[in-house]
Amino acid sequence: MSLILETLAGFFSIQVVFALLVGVAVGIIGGGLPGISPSMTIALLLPISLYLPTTVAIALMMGAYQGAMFGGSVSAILINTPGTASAAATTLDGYKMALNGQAGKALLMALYASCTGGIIGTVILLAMAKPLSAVTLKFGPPEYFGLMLLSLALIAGISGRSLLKGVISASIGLLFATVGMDPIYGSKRFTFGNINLGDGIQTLSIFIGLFALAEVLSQLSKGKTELYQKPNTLTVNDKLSFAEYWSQKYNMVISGVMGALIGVLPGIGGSTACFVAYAEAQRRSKYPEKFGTGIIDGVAAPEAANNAVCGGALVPMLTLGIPGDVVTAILVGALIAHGIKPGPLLFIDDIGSVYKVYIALMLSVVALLIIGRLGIPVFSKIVKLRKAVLLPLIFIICVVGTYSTRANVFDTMMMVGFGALGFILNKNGFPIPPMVIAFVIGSQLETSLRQSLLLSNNSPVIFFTRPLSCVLIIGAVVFAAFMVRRNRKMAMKEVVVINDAGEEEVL
Amino acid sequence: MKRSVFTRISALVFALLLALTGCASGGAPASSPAASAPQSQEAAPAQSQEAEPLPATDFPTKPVEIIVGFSAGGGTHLAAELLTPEAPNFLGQPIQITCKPGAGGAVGATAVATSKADGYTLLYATMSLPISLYMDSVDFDADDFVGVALASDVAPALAVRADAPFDTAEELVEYAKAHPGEFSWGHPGVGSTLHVLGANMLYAMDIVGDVTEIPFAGTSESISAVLGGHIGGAVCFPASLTEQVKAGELKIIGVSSPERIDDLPDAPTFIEQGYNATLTSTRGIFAPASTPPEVLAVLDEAFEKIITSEDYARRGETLGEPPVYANAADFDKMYREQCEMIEKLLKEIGLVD
Repeated sequence: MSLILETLAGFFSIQVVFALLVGVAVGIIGGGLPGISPSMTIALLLPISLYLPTTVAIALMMGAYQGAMFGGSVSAILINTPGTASAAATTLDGYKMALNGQAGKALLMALYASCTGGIIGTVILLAMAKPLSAVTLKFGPPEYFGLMLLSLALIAGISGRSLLKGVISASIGLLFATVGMDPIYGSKRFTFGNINLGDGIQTLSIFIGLFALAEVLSQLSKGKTELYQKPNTLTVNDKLSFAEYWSQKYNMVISGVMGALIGVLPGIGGSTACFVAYAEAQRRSKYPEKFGTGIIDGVAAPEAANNAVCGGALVPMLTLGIPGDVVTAILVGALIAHGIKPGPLLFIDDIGSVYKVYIALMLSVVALLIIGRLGIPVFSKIVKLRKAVLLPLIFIICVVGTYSTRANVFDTMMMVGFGALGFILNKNGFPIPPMVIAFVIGSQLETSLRQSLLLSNNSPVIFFTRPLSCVLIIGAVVFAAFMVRRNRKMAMKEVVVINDAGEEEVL
Repeated sequence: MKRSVFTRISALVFALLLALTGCASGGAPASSPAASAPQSQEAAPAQSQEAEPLPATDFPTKPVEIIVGFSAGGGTHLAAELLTPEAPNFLGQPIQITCKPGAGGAVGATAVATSKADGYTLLYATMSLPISLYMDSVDFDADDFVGVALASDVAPALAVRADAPFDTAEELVEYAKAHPGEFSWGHPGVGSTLHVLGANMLYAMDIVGDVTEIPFAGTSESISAVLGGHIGGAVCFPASLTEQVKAGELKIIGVSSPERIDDLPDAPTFIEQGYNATLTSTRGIFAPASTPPEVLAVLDEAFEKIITSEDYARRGETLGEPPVYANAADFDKMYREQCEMIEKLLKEIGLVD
């Protein structure tokens, strides 16, 4: 106990506070700009951190980690461009809220949910790091497959009105996920001899094309008068009341816990966690049909989840020395450079350093709250721009963002192609989210399926003889059945109101 | 009013573009004069001893770009960044690192192979360069590059769970022969450096056909699969293993380096156990083959000073990079030998026909 207090005391210096604030600010900027991933932001801070005292360096990194997670949502909400992969789910309701003149409210909800999620993630890390790391190791390929299947079933709920169109959209996403190198044999699939497709389609090209550029195109198609109109600046109810925040308490806690738990598993990533949290919030909700129209529930869920992922991802990193994603891989490097060796011995030999990480993560949530509150009024000015000015700006961000990740024009071209595809699909009532989610989950689903079959010598029995994977797969089937039923009910209601959607349902 | 909004926006766009391009190149020209450099500790090596005198060159007159074929923030990128702080002192110009990831480094290699061979565009490549020559349908071949400097050399290790029923390579061979298909090993992706290095170990032990190979998306996934008992073993670099070995969770069957390594002093090499696996993962700087010799000479000399500098060694240590260096002539020879060896190996283990 005294060690905790001693460590905590080390944080109350001007340098540490400054490092936390700078880290969060840099994180928000890096996360907010598409094309600069959280890992790039932290990689940029790494050389600086090597010259700082350990506590200051950890504060800087943790601040940037939390900041980047929130920063991605700022651009997701304001311009429908997910700044980070984890923010993709936030576009679904966040951008709709901005369109409804509630950008400020959406940003505040995102900030508070991020902070709440950040605290949940830290608490879970603090309380359960050791037991959770044991659970992580229980997850082999069959369990990953079960989990991915369950996620896919849950997420089927986001398909909107027509389940059939949702399934078509998801199938296209799965097809895109097969592009690139075969995960087991290494042969090239659907690359058409193009070396740029060797690693598959870049997630960022898909995200930015389908969300941001498709939206730019659909705005453009509304005609000239709309573009030059002064934007609707009546900010009715653009504040977030405490009652509204409090109404999301269960949503945030459940989403946060889900985010942290998914974050614990190496290699799954924030975007899956957020989509799952969103889908689960919609499934639980008393008004699932309102999701996707711009409600705070749809912002709170993914935002709580993606900041909780931070705490979760640190579990295997600290306890096993296994970084779950690129960001934690860089953090491992930074810690080792400061003489802290993550791994099973860290909790025995050097518990003080573990506390440093915990405290830095907790304090970075406070720093995020401060910087976020200061920044939101500035960020939300963007929605006051005329479309004629804003849309070209978004287009530039789309182009530069997709180019900069791999310094490759090919990715920009793919983004433009996906923008056109998204526009066409949108026009014809095909929902975009299932496609994006299927793409994200697709490759992990395939890899774990085929790894399992390699292990079992091609016998599918392996999925059912292992209790955890059996439970997950049964869960997936139950959820899928539930989704189909609910969707049919919703469709029945819709038929009365909307004719053209009803016709599809008869199929 | 209207104008002020417009200026503000254009300022914003400009700032944004600046920020983006700056970051895309992973830190931009490293103009950090702060790096305290003890100026060339050794006398400059006589690099043009008996050869005919090279024409004079004023190279370099602008920043030199080094392309890395892997993601920004990844291990290879961070290792390449080690070159930047001392560059202004020893090369006279900053080095700018650009990450062009894709197809296991082949996208970046293609960019360098097709660049103007003037010494201003270089490649920082891993062993994936020779691998991609044979595994991918790439638009370049081995002779399109010349080695400039070796900057890193790391030995891989085959790790298994501490409770595995075998301790040595010989016992593993016996086990695998007795239980065909039962020992499974993981690596971070088909055609990755660790895949080839691991295949080389199994080939040397002559058990390629008796074990099951499970590709993963990364080293983290394969190590946690070993720890969880889902697979038998994994081939990894020591940096990701040392803590687990110390904690007694994993044990090392063998290391495929000619001699034991500092990180795992108790782990035996394969060669000392009688199996001829000595392939290690090298990283270094390459130039397009048609780069003028006088330019290559300047680069050779500059990289020697950078890589053997104290600052480089100190920073490298923090990344787990043991200090190694080989000059252009030696590294180029090493590269050609590696190409031959890898081509043969890939054919033997059936990855290439």
